[in-house]
Amino acid sequence: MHAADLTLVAARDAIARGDLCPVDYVDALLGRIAALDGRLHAFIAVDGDAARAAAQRLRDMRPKAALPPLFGVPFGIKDIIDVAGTVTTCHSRVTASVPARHNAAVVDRLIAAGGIPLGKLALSEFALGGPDFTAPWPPARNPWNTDYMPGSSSTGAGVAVAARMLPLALGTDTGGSIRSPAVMNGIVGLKPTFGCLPMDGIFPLAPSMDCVGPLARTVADVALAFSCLGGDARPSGGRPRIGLLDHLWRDDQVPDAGLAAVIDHAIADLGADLPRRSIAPLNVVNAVAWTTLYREAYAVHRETLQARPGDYGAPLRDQLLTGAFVTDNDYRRAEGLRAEITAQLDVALGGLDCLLTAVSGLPPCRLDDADAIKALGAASVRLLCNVTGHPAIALPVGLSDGLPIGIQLIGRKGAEGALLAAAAWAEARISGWSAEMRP
Amino acid sequence: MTKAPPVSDDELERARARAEALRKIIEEYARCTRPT
Repeated sequence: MHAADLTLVAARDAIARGDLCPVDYVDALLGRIAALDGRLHAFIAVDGDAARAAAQRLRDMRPKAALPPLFGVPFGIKDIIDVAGTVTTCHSRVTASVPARHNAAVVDRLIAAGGIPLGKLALSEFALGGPDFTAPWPPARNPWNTDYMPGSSSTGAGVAVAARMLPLALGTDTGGSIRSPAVMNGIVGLKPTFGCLPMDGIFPLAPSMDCVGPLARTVADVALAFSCLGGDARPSGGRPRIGLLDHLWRDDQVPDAGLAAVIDHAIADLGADLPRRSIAPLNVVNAVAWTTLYREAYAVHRETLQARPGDYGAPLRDQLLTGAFVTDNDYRRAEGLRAEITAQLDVALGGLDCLLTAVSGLPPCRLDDADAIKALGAASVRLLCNVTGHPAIALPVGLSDGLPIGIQLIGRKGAEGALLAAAAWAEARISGWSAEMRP
Repeated sequence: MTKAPPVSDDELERARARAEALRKIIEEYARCTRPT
């Protein structure tokens, strides 16, 4: 097998056994990037020389005792996350060209675990805008069909991992921005409990909703990365207790028939007796989320938007401006409903390890279809966990019209171990997908 | 809103309408779920 095709855990194990040299591994990934990224545009910057130098240092100073858990494994970083010495562009012409002085805390944690930063990854502008063909870097493209959306907003992270250019990437998730690119590219993404991982050195979008987390090819990969980031991934024992939260995608909207068939097949794989739970309707959950997000994002960008509105891409500016019309009273009322919906979700999780739902009622759409992108946003089931702060993991379950379809499992707050165990259990039973499936 | 960013009236109107649509959904839900 080509080294670039190894999953994170397989690559880590091969390096630990001495079967794979960290330098050869970096070279294999650089070769894959050189071959593919000209048409996928997952990377904003690749630092191959620094990655090779780091891999050589690790090879030459290989400890005799136990290796750190990510020893010699390269990873990519959504370009909203600081890496010392490189400019954090946020995929925008608005940002300054001054390199970051320090690594974000999560980058330091992966390096301390033996990881090697390999490059900065594309995103939707400031983690909110839509595809913007006027931006300094082209939008990333879905490796399953390059005419289609790779999700939003950690686009490069989803594309690079799915296309085997990286075994691991760091993304951020304020309204589903890890889970959307995970399912649309056919990989796994974890949004941890709000506040679980440090946000230092990460440009904010909506500070009361922002999370950082890993994207990789398998649940085991994501669990390994999450533990290296400082999360508690210790699994719980026994068969997981999974319930369905399906009104959000099945009743509160008209889902795509092909997507529904794939998800129904996955649910059937997990057993016929999963209990159904419910919370507030999707349009209310999403209205609360967008009210909060627009207001907080506008506060972050207000001064620059006043001074240089033309430097923002039109899709982002359009959304940011909404925050100017969200009043104090709107925000307070949304805060009240956030508490209410959080309590509803806690009740819905009673006696369960997690709730299964879709990430969206619609599959990926064309990258150049603005109306379809708008519809995709309205069909999103991703914002719930950013409203409430609960952890959620997204994983692929099959293909529809040649594009990946996924689900998400929502866990109890602070119980990522149980959530990851349930996801691994589900991953092993879902017949419509395997980690060997590739674009 | 204290001071409008210097963008077109169309853009501002779209943003205002979007904020108003969110407000209506939340108000309607509050009306339906709380006794008056």
